[in-house]
Amino acid sequence: MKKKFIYFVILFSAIVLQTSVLPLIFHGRPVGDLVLMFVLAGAVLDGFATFLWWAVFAGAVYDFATYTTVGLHSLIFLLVVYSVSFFSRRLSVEFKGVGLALLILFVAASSVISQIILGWQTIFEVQKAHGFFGPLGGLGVFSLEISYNTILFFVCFAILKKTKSFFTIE
Amino acid sequence: MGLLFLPFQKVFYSVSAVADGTGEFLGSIGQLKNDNKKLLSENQALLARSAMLQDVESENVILRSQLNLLPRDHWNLVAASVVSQDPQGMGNWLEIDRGSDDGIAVGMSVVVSNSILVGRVQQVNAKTAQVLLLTNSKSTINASTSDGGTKGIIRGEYGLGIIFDMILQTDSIKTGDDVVTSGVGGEIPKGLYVGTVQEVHDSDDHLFQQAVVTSPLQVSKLQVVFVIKDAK
Repeated sequence: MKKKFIYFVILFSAIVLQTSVLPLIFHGRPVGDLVLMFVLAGAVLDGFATFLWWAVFAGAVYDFATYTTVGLHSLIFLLVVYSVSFFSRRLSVEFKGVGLALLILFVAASSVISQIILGWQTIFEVQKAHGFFGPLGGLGVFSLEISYNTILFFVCFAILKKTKSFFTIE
Repeated sequence: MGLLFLPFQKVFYSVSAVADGTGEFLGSIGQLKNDNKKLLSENQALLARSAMLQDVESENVILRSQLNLLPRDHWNLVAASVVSQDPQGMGNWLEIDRGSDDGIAVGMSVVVSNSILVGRVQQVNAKTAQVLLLTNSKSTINASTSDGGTKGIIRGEYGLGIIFDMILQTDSIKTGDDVVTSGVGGEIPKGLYVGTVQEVHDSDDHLFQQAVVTSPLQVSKLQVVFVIKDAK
């Protein structure tokens, strides 16, 4: 129960920061995705089986809070958590060599997955793709987004790890 | 769900806006002196223009009453604070802290400074509402140039900009023209300012002209907006 409450508070804070703080700091694209990075960090620390339902729940709450089609972010977070599950958790939490490279790869892959799915949803809604991938899908924009997400991931990872040890959560 | 987030979003948004403003001010101190000098000379030119425009305004009031158009200051406005924005940074929507309990309904226009159009209400909850910005790809609004001669449609471009589209090839439009809402359809009041034309070119199929319009607003810095409920 304690774990559920603490994870909910962290998720809640991440959504509030994502909608009410980050857009003001970044003034338009690219903006890092704090909630996505929280889910990724949670999946890396807790593993697929434990964090699967948190990913679904986080996605649903995020969709309700951001007027997005319900289920879209749940799908994105599920894909992210599922991708992480293919790699050894022991290997991925080591901050050396391969472990660090894997973590950055997770960040990059999840950023790309998220932007592709959200992008396709926008294209589907407006029924056209012309002019979308130029300004929004360029390599520069994606690179900056991945950079921001990398920083946010390590922040989320540290916060989650500290929180788990402080509150003695398994 | 929105009610749960609302109080926290209000606090965090206000604090972030202040922090962002302070940061910008500190970074721009060096430039302020030069800007001040430039603004003083601009002010003098504007004072002269203002005197001329007062005459024009008097004439405008008379003509509007003759044509049975809504006077500009006769709208019932509801002030609302912005509490959150599109988290993907695509400049697509804002969330305000007014909803159906305050008389807000879907389709109402949202403005700042009483006449600059920000967008339209797309979704309404009891205490909050989502405002679809002009830059949203789903946003389409009937518009015309300020002289009323050239008509077309304002549509958003993936949160990045505004396009004045479907302008007939026979209509005249040039860089610097002001674009306002035309009132066609009756959903959005006529005469709300949208932006200024930056560039004109043909559409892909060469059947119409298109113009890139720049809005004077910095949406990411908006803190207070006004919802037009109805005419007084």
